[in-house]
Amino acid sequence: MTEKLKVYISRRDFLKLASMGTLGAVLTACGPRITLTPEAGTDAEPQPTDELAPTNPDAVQWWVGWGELVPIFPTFKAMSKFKELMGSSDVEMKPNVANEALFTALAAGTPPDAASNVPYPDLFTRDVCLDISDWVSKSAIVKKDDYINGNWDAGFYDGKQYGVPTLECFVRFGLDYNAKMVEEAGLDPDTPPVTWDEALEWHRKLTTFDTAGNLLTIGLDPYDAEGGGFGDGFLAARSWGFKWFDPATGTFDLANDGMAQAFDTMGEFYRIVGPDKMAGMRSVAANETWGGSFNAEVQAMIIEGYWHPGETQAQMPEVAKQNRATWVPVPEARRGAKVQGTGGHFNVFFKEAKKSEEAFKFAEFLNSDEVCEKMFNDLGWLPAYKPFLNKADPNTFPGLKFYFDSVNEATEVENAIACPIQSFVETAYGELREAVYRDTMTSADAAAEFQKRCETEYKNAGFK
Amino acid sequence: MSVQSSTFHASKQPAQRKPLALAERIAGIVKYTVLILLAVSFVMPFYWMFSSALKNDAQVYVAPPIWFPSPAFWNNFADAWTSQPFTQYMLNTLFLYAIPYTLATTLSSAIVAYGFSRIQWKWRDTLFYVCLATMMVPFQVQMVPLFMIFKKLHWINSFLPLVVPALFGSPYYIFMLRQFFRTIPSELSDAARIDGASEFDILWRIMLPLSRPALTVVSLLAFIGAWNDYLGPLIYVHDQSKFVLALGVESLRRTFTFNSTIANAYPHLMAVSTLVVLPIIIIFFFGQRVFIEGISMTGLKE
Amino acid sequence: MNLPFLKNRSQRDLWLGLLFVSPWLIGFLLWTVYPLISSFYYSFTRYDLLRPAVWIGPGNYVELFTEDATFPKVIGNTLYYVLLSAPLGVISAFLMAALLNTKIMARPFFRAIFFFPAIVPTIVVAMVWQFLLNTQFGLINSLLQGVGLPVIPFLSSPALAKPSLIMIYMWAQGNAMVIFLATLQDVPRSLYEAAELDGANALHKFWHITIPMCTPVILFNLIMGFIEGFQSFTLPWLVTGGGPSNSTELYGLYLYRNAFEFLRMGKASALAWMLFIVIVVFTFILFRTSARWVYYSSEK
Repeated sequence: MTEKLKVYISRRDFLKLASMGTLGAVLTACGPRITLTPEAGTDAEPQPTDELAPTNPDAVQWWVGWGELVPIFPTFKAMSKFKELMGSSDVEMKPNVANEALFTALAAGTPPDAASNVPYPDLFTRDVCLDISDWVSKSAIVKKDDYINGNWDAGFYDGKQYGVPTLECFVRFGLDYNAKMVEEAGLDPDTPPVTWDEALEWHRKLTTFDTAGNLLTIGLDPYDAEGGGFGDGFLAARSWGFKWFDPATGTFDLANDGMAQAFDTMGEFYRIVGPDKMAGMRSVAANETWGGSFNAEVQAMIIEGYWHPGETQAQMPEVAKQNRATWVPVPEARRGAKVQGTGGHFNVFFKEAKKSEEAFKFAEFLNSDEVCEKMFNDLGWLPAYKPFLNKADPNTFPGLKFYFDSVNEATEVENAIACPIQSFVETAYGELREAVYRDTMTSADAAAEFQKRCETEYKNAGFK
Repeated sequence: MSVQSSTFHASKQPAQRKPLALAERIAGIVKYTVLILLAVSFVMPFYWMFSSALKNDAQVYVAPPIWFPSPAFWNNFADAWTSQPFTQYMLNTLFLYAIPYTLATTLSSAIVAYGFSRIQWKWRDTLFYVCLATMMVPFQVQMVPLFMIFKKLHWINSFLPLVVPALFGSPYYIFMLRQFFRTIPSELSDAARIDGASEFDILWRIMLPLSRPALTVVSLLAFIGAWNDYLGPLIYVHDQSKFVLALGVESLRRTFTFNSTIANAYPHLMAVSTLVVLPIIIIFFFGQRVFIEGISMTGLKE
Repeated sequence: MNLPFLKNRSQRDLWLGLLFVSPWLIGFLLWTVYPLISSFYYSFTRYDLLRPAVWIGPGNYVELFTEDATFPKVIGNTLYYVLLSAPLGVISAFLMAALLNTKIMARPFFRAIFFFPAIVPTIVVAMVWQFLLNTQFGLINSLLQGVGLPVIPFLSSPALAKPSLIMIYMWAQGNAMVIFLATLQDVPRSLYEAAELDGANALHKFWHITIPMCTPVILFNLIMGFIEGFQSFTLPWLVTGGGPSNSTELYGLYLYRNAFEFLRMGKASALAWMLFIVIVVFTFILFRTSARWVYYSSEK
């Protein structure tokens, strides 16, 4: 490139100014026209600016980790039940709150009055939440007997009650599949896979490429959605039937054959697709969102909880029509085991907050029929609150009935385990399972390494 | 290779430029080929952003990709912009953050840079190294203790934690201005000192006017830095009414992540991105004369 | 010059110098020293942000070097990234500036285009490149396939993810380029004219005049490149999130993860302090050696 510097290097070309000026003029001429359209739109639609009402310093501050409630939250406050329970109190919801923001606020001693869709184990195990037993004992609405046991119990840690089940609870595991895609692959949607081997068979047939080798569809990404996380329980442990962590003794049980088999079996789904192709598919916006690839009919099967039928209905009604659900796969040796789990979400309160009592009333309000119905119809969410569950129609969304029936039919129901180092465990799991399906580590080594890392972190984080 | 060698010969005899027009033309072709290839590589992602903003989901998730979406969904721009109060975000970004920050940091950095370059004093270089070293402090280390300070000052949920520290100079810009100041001949300030000028006079009347291009560069960089800052506002600004554009984009992105109900998420994100990028591109087109060409005004030579 | 005068003058200059740098000095104490000291303290504690810190001595440092399985990989990734991205960033910025500094038509147009990436928010850069480099829907792979080349898994293969990030980094070197450009235009014309009289060709002039005159800025951009590289967070965080297979888990990401995901603020503080020291040493060495290759015109 150096030769291009040539003789001109020291010459200053003032003519450039002219061309620059012209260009700038052209751009400014275009500029306002392009930006004007949206601004005009803002005037026409004043609704979004309503969100800009100044913060009410007396309102209960409710921070929510997710964003689904944004469109329906205003209707909550318009309900008569809201006035009835909250009186003159107001509630402000801050949606899409990143964990960092909540942690920093807690560290600074300025927590919100209530929070939902946040990493509960981190909070429960670190003594920042308010024990609400007293309020619960006095409450006319929040009563133990009205809740599904598992969901209720998940709000406890170390004998203290920290969470009121709200928003999105109920059962957490099922294998949902798109009947149309299954049929088109020459499979029978009425005899879904029961074991991992059978699921793998479906996966092989449902995974397709175009002539250029591009991935068109996949059968199942077993690490997608509920398959890869720990928030609602650890699928591999549940499916292979081991208790990965015992909070009472603080011991991990990961260096076992079940874990190694899980690494291998679930990893095989990735090997069939190709790890690079799977990662590429996941990295586009539509497929990295929760359930996005199922909605886009890129993935035919997905491991999800009861919300899947309803959320798919809300997001992609055409796809929801094809939805069916069954038990999550188990290994051949455990054929017949029907595993289910409870867990879900809460309203939690903080020791240093100012309006905790009003916030508790708001949690009571969130269990009211009106709210539950709105959330069920608009978002597909169900509470753990039996008075509403008994009324809800299991046939509202295709596939939902399986989840309702599973409550009584399951042979193993387990609660999500609150592990104080859950985020670490999840990250280590992500790294090690990838090492297995990319064949840089054997499954037995990965299981042993998983155990070792978790024990080390648990010790160093000060829990043992 | 042949192109290169002929260029070499051409430049060896600068006095005889005219007879060697052919060699120059070949060199020119090479030069413009490289220029245009580079320009394409810079424009293509922006074109992609713009064209994606005009698509619907079906046009985005298709292989091979579509270059010219048809039909083009122009309403994506209005829909995306009004889906959140982006106009408000833009005003916040400009008047509460970017402009005050730019003014504060440029002026204070120039004063500090003067002390670090044009006056000889005992611990100057040691302190300057310390100043440089602060650039190396990872922000994450300071984040929580700083948050505590600002909380005690009751500055949370305002732009003060972002703007007030700018009054104390920024090591990056101090370093840059110092480098520029050092290239200005010391004879100039010596002469002024003999004439009885104070150091402030020298800074105001000699250094700053001579450093206008450097100051422009610094203020443009500061402005862009504030315009694009995401982490700072994320930590300190909580009310949506005080959101800046970068937070708005991320908030939109998060909304889509949790709510695949919303169709055309990626086109909407690209539409907002286009609208966020556009004003600053226009400002740059205007400002670049001062920004780069204006550097010819500096008194390095005569 | 007598001694009392010298003493007076040096004292006067000391106070003047301190006066001028006082804004920075005060800010330094308030916004840097205090947070640094408290995080240094935290690096010897077990601190999860939510509960009071507990003093554990050098435990966090010991853990990083003896027990942490991910840390060695993070170091490797970071060195790979920094040692390539900083010099390559400087080289690409310098060459772009040199090209723009030649006599070309529509220079402001090209200049603006070359600069654009630097003014785009990182979050936008990340969203755009993620898509462009996608194996399936991405424009670049589609172009490659169009001319019969195989698909390249830029961001989804552990071997290519780091080079791809470095490529995006090199692409967005507008800031450094503009600084170089400003410097190039300030190189006195007389130097080139003198060289031309001596029969120097373009390469000679570039090597013996242009580069030496730009060395202070090369040093500056190089140091900034190293610091940026060591602390790099936003781009890799948004584009690859540390994957695939931890191949882009850079120091900044690991630090952040420990602080805000694993709630190991004490360990994160130890990581940050070690990073701080490494960068200081790195910069110090660069500065020390710079006397040999950096040229300041006012110090002739």
